[in-house]
Amino acid sequence: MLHLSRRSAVALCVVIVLAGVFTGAALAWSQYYVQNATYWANDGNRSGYNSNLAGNALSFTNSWGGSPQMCSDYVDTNGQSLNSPVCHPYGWIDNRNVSYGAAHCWADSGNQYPLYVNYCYTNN
Amino acid sequence: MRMTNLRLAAMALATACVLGIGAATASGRSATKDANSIAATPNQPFGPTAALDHLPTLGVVPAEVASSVQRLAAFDATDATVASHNVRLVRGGLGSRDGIYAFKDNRGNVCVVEAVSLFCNPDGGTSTPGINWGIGGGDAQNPSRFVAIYSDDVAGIALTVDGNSVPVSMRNNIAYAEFPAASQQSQFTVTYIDGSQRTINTDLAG
Repeated sequence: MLHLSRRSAVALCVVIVLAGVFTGAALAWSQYYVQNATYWANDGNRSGYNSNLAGNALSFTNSWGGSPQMCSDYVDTNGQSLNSPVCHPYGWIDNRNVSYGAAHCWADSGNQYPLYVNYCYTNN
Repeated sequence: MRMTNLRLAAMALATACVLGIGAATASGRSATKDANSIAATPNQPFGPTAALDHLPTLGVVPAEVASSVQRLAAFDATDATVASHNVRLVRGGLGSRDGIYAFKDNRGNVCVVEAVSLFCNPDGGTSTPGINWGIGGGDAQNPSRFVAIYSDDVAGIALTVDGNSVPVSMRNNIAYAEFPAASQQSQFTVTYIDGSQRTINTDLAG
């Protein structure tokens, strides 16, 4: 049976709590990297870089009509695409994963109408 | 599991907040002059999907699919528990990747779960009648793909990628095609049962 002094027990609890906080922070990261924007063709943005990105959610509407599309991919630190873009005309989640990179969302270059972007969001 | 649920809940809450902000902003914002000058094309309600609706729901949903259903339900602001009991396998044996699954959200919209994309038909209908699609998404190991939900009034879909015709398989209200990941341009034409057509172009180069 392990016996700890009160001070040792408190110190141990602090260590455990801090370990949990920092481990959780490392595992759970997310970012809204676009919010409330009007996008014309080729407008876009990318998130910050992080490891184990596990999704890129794009919420938008064709507020001005037509069938404008939003596209998604992940990019490396040189800005090079890690996979081929996927494009949709309505909100969706890019279900692909990358070990390290940034999420990227943009309005397709062929769009003839603007669209209203509620958000682009990624997490790990 | 607790963290997963907390994150889902947080994501749903954040989604609701952002949508609320977006709606408030949309109703009160003054859009750009150029945007206002474009005449709006009204969206149309999505038509029936009889074949998909008649498929049996799965008694056991594969773990990866169940996880994706949870994520999509949070994104779509629908009941995840109901969604998870309403999952159908709509397309299997598609070659390069896993099957395509669907469920209906609590507003009656078809939602699709597949390897590349998770998406639902929008509440307000679609501007290209009777079809909602995703295209692209290949990588070094996998071809790109075209996945679409189509309603019963769609008679055919013809896909061309970089000038080459690509066969489109249509079954259970889900259309599917594969093409090289490095493709640059796609064009598909939807033909309706009344003979009318709509054509959509997409820049796949990024």
